[in-house]
Amino acid sequence: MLYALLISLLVCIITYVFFAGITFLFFLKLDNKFSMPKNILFICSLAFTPFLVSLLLHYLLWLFPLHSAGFYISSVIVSFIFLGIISYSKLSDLVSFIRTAFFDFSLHTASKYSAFKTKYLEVEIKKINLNINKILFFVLLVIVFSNWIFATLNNQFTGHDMLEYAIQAKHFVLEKKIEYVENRFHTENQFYYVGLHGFSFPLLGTWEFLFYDFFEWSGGDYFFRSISGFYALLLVSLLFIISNQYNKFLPWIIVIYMWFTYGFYLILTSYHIDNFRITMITISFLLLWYGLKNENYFILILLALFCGAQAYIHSLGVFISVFIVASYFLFSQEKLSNKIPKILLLGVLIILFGGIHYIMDVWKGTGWIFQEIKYY
Amino acid sequence: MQEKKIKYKIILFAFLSAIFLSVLYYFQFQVNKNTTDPNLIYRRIDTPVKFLLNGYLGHFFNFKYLGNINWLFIPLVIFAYLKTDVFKSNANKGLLFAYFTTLLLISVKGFFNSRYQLTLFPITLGFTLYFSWLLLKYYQLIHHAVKIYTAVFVFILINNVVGLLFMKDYIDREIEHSKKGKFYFLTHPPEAFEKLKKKKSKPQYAIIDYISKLPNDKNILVNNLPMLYYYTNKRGIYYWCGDDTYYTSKGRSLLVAEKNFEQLSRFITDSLKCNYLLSNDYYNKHNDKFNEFVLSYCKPLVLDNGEYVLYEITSEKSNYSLKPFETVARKKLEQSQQYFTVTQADVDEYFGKK
Repeated sequence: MLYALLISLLVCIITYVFFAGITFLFFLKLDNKFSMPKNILFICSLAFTPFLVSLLLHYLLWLFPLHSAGFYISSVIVSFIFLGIISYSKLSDLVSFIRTAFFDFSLHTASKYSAFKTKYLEVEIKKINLNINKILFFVLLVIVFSNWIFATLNNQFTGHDMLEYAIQAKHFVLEKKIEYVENRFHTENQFYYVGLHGFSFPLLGTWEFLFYDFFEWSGGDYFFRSISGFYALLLVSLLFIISNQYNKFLPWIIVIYMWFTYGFYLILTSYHIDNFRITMITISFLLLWYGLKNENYFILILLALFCGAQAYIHSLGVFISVFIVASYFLFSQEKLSNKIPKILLLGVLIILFGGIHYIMDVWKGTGWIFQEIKYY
Repeated sequence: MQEKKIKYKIILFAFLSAIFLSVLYYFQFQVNKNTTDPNLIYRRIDTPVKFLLNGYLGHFFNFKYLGNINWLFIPLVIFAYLKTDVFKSNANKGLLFAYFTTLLLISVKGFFNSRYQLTLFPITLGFTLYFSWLLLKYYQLIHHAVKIYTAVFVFILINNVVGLLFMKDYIDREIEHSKKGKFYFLTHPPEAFEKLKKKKSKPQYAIIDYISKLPNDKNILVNNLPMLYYYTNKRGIYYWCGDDTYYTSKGRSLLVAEKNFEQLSRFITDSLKCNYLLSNDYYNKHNDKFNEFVLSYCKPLVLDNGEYVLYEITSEKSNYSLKPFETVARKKLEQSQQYFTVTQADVDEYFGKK
């Protein structure tokens, strides 16, 4: 149990801390026009990182099958190190952001990184400017975080869908390949994967199980269990930060309302793909809004990455991505001659960052939603 | 004078909303006693009105899963469109376009699954509260925002705590099927809460230990319970009786259709090489013919605290019943046992002693 916990903890630290930090550095490097508030960009980086790991694994297992666990783990790590090297110049910005966002609760610095400087709750207590809402927000995060850790450590996978994803995740590790076949049937235990969606979510389990394979250990799935809670944390933080600009009470109403809504409570306390996909969809909508307000290439690329991500996570996301692209096309105020290359760029990136799975699945695999169900 | 008028308007709106919500809750508690499809009952779409409210319009009116504030989005977005200039901006128009097209897709394709209805929940919630903020601004009530939002907050809290405690599935079943009456949970809240606590504290899959000890050359027909593959190394043919479909390397096939029970028993043991069935009583009832087969050709071997059952598939017809197993399981639960299985030996011992 302890050894399994340590391995899972290692995967959590590598993914949620080191890789996420590198993704944030990379996004800071791309965003040279400061087109987004840094706290929102930070949440985007945290959300995008596990997805990026799953995408890298997808390409590795698909294009370079049948290698050892060490090969796949080191390839992912090297890819992130490469991203880190090209974004190294932004390290001081990252350090400064972390210091300000997590360790400074005075009002003037807290609002420095916000796009909505004057809207924070401004309270002066004995000449100390304290951002009370920010302090309360961190208290909330500690509560959610504790809930998350407690749930992750105590509850096993039980629900039907979650077990399907987890079994498929194990099979990717056992077989060390992704291939597009008509029937995803595994002869060793006769399991048949009926899932229609992209492999992003199961591949997060694969990422952890590869470490277990590498260390020749078994029995742990704590990182995979942590995904639901991690994205719940991000979703709550994102809504809090956005709504905080309008009124000091709005974020609390939103957060507490979400918490006490049975459906959200259910996905917060059980393991499922929902928090993962809903967070990505919410961020995509936010990026669409930013993209239409501020038509620059950084936001366009980010929008494409997140649309690709939500498509690769869940089939519903494919259609939502199409709607988002259509919306961008219809409501962007640029000339048609400028719009068309941007839409093409959006399309290509969405395919590269997730859509390709569905093209392959229709062409050579199960047929996705177009499959003909044949009874013999 | 102007403020007084607005106050009256707010009180009127609150009053109308209360009536509106009461009517909707009335429909939510309606039960179609002729429906036998467990899917429709489980998804709370067993009457035409519930099908509309919890299905197609579930994003706004599926109170059980999404609370009861989302419907406010509808009047508030109309207000925002007519009375403010918020939709003059192309960014907001584009966002609303993507939102509505997604909503349409979820309504049309996701009506059967409450989890799909959650897709836009954070965005709807954000929009609703933002539009309410615009409404307060429009009527110059911003200085009352704290009071108004506190009132909304208290309302939400009470509503959702009630929803959380009393609208859970098993209590719904209690409401819908119990002889104790529709509002047992309201008249007996401590008992309902005790049941909720017991349900929450149940550990999962005690049956796994039993299955792991089965001989390796015996396969299992798995009725929609993939835990077998994750928690054991056993082989099993995947089957879902709701669609009567089993899955092999060749694809999907129908199992029960066009076979009599004797043929079916032989087919499962000889062709599929499965000697056991892993299922539960609730799933079996998704297919009447399959359920009948289970009752006559599948001998219960073990029942666990999570209500999962392992049966042995027999070639001889008999009358099998889970009831003795359930009686012993209830006894163990009453003795506060948390993680247990009930085998034939337990049943014999219990009834022998009696």
